Amino acid sequence: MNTILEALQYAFIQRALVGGVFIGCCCAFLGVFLVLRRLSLIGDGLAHVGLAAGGLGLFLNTQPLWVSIPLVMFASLWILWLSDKADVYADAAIGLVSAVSVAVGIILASVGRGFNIDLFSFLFGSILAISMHEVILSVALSVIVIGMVFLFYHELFAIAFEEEYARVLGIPVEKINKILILCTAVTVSLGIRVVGTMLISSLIIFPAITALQIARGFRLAMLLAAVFSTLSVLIGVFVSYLADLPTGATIVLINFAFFVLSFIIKKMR
Amino acid sequence: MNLIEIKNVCVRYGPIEALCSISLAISAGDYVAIIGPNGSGKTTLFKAILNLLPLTEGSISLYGTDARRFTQWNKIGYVPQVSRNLHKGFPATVREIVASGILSAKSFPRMIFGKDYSKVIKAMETVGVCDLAERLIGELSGGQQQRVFLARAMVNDPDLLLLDEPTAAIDPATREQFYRTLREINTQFGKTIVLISHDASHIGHFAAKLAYLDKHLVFFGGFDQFCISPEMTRYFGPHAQHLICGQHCPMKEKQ
Repeated sequence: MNTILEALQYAFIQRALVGGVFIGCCCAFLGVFLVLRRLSLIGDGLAHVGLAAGGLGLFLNTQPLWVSIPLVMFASLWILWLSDKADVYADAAIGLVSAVSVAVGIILASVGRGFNIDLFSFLFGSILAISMHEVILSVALSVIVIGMVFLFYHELFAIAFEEEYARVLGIPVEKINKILILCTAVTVSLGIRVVGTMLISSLIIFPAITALQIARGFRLAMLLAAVFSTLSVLIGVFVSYLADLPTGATIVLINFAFFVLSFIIKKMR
Repeated sequence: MNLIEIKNVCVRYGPIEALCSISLAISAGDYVAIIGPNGSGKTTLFKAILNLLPLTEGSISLYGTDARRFTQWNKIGYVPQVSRNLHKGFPATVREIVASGILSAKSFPRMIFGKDYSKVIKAMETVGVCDLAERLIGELSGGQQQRVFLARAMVNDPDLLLLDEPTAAIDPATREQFYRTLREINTQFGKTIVLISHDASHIGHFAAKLAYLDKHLVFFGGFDQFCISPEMTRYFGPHAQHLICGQHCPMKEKQ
């Protein structure tokens, strides 16, 4: 307990907790809709774009988030356009966009040899190194994303349950899909800082599928996903600090432990 | 008053003609069953009515307004096919599903308030699913799910109900009960009902009119005329339509 209190004295731990919890909640709320719509791997695809965009930010010697957020948002609309208008299957569109992005990232990494070590943090996350400026940006954008989810909650629910019926209700499905995918793009850009490109999809998928094992109602599923995500970040940051483990990977494994627990609870009912 | 007016409607999917020269008017208080073989364009006709796909030719008006410009979707309740759409593990309760039907009566920001839940309860009571309110939709039988979707369609108290093969996923006894519920909704509450069915011999006992579709409209009229109509005889050959009606054309049970 003393060690935890001692850890809380450090500004970098405080920043990691605040940033991580807000980004984790965004991932959890969006994750429920993405998982139910079988779009969960879009996080993975957009993370690859985030890697390339982060590389470009480093290459241009600017704050990576300022480059990655607009580029990932653009890529998310590109995926939507490919699957809606160009008759490319959604999973193929995600694969296409992420492959092009990784290729660009590799070329940037080879051209600018000096930033390869920084790019490493994009792959595996470095939430303990998050700056005050990044925390403020993350909290502000997370509040906007969570606000959008609550503002369009009923539309997102109706579309997730049955897209065609949502159209009959007069819901502008294309617009809501764009909002969902743009919110996902912003969240993925922020989430890369927490767990890295390799693990960001787990931050979207795990809290959602954990909640879906035991939730008896949609609102409860959203609430449980946010609770599991928050607990994973909090426990993950402290465990990684105490045991000197990589924080992003520890957060993912805590998430996995919650999933196993909820699966057992479901089977025991 | 015609709630639906379909004039010379043709729909093509690329080179394939799904509907051709359909003209049909459905008045307030009607109970119409649209029947026909697989691929005859029944669901396409529904999608055209609901403005879910573009028309190649012709026009459809809803409550006197062109369907493309129609915005009062709360006046229409739609029940899609169960088997086609349901996610078994979807975590929504029956109450949440029925409440989502209210959204057609809302504009941005679409919020559902406490007073809206009295409509939800009323719709659940009308179709007898109040005791299922807190159950998850994926836990219900096909018949129960169909009632839940009927409650969702009725939550705004619409004048017109469109049902796409509502009995496709349910057993014969439940099907009869479901058709009876629809008849009550038609006669007691004065709702106009249009449904798609494969099953002319059963739905003929309940619906006031049948529309036989096979890319074009072969027949539109009462069940008793359906079994002896020259259009159907020309289409199927002598007595062949009796195979659709059953061994003997049954008298209607409506009264």
